Amino acid sequence: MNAFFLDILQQYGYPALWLIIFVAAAGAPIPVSLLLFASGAFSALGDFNIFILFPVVLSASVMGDSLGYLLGRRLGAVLLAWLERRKRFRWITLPALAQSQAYFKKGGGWAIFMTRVLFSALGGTINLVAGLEQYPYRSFLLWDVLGEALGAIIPLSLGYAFAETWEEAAGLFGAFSGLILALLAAIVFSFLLVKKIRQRRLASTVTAEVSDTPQVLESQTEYDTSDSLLIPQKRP
Amino acid sequence: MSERAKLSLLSFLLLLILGCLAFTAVRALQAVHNFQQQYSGVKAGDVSTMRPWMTVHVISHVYHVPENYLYHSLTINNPAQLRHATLYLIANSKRQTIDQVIRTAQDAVLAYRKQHPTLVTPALIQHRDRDSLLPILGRTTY
Repeated sequence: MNAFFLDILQQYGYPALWLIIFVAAAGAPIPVSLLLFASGAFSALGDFNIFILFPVVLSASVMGDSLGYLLGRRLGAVLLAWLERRKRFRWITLPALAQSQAYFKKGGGWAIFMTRVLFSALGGTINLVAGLEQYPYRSFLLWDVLGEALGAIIPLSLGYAFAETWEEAAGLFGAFSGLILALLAAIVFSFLLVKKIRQRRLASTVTAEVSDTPQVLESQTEYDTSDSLLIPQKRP
Repeated sequence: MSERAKLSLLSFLLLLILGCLAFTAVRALQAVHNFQQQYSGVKAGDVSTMRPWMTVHVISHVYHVPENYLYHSLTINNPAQLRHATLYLIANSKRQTIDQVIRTAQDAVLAYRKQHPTLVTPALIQHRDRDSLLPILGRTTY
């Protein structure tokens, strides 16, 4: 498949590159990162101009992302409303949707940015989710342009710098991206595990303390169980 | 889900991620090794670094062989049409395997170097002067 895209890239130049990146940004599973490395390399070898490549890549990816966002916003909202009406899934309720929208509004910017720079495979999905969650388009565009600019500069410049060995440079970049992702996941999960263990220890300590204290309290207080609240009363 | 089950699940996931981490670390080391090998090969003008994505123009640029010589060696009669064709596309158009086309291009580069033994890059001349190595085939200027 890569050979097919590289052939098209060599044969039809900038328009082909624009179209491929646009389609990929809209959600099609195409190895764009590899194509960007190749384009950078071809520009170093005299087939493309790196200063034309950058705006071509940026405009195509931003327009493709916007299409994905629009699809999510128009179709996703209708789909969710339908699912909520039909009660197809128990967890799709109006409060749950409002909660997820609020959550995405809070951390969506970073999610959009990171999926342009490091985890590009998730980019199409995040576009749809951003539209679905009614994330403000202006904020989406801002994070998208920033992320796509950085996401284009890195592979283009690496491809340009290591022109003859761009395939291996792309492999290296991909391997280190995976390593960083795994490292981040390991840090997050270690943190969660430590937190859970501490909570468990704390809970067991509190339980032990509580099991000790009632013996003292029982001698001094008596509980009125007639009311829903347990009100301690002094013994006469 | 009980607290104990949650803790077990979290531990299992962490172990899984640590496994992934080890796997990606090995992959990264392999990628570094591949990159170093290919990079030094290209710099030394090693023809085994030729790839299917390369066009005749790129091969000419990387291995310092005139384009017309390569077109002639690859028996391409219409160079203007195939100027941007990768070796992969050339192989398809000639109904040959990609390995056959790469081998032909490699032979052409080596033959050209044999015909022009005095054309050696400055980098290789410096390398030979410094380490007093035997003459080796490398990148040539034309």
